[in-house]
Amino acid sequence: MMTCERVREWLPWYVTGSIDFEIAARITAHLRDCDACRTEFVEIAQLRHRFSAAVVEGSTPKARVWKRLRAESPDANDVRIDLGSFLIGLRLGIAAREHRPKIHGDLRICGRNVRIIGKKKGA
Amino acid sequence: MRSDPQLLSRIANEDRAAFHLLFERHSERIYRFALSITRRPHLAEEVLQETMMAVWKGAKRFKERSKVTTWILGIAKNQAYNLLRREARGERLPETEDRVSDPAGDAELSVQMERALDALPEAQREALHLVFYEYLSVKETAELLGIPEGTVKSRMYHARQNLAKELA
Repeated sequence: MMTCERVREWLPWYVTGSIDFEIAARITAHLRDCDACRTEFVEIAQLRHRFSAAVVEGSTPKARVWKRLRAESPDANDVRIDLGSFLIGLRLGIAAREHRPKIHGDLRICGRNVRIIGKKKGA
Repeated sequence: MRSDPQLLSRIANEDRAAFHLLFERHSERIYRFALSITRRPHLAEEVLQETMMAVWKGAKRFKERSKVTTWILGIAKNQAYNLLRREARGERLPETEDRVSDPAGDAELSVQMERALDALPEAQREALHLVFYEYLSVKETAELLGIPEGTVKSRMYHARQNLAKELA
């Protein structure tokens, strides 16, 4: 049988269900017989509910951030075509930059990429 | 549908479609976690951007022994504390009007909760968020925060006590 102290330590995870089945079963058995821990359980469940409600309020600035990220990842491809195998092949990348497509190509030899079309990365 | 580790391996090869998908999947949770720590929307927005930029640049460094979510939230946590430190040192100008608020719904309850959360130390808010909102286990929370499991439990205990006191 778990002590009240041990049970209360685990109650936040018992409330969310993020807990081992074996520990959860022992807590369930304890709660059946312990009024004080049952009260604590209800209080924590209410607290979690109020906390989560506060967290989900408001919108996120997703679109704005994505726009900035696109501008800050200049080597990124919108479309990529891979031909050949890991040992030897060709990769073509197309990226939209300020309404103009930017095309680059890499020749792959033994897993290493060598830029053959477009500017080198970081250049 | 591609898994998060698969997306990361494509991101390591500069695949922006994979990056966009990962952003779509995780941006909201990163933003809300950052908001729980910083309590300021403009800082949380910056944390989201910096975190995703770090993911873009560091996708190769991801080790599959941890979950992608835990890895990303760990980056977000570091970014949030960096920003708060820079603000405290005066390297950034704080935007005083930019506080978390929600006029809709149960306004009084909401304001009460916001005030209570503002009064908590950042470390307790982040623990509450990871456990109550992200549903992380004790082990996952400890891994993400880089603290022992016992400390996670005591941090949650104090967070609950303080929050209940503030809400009383």
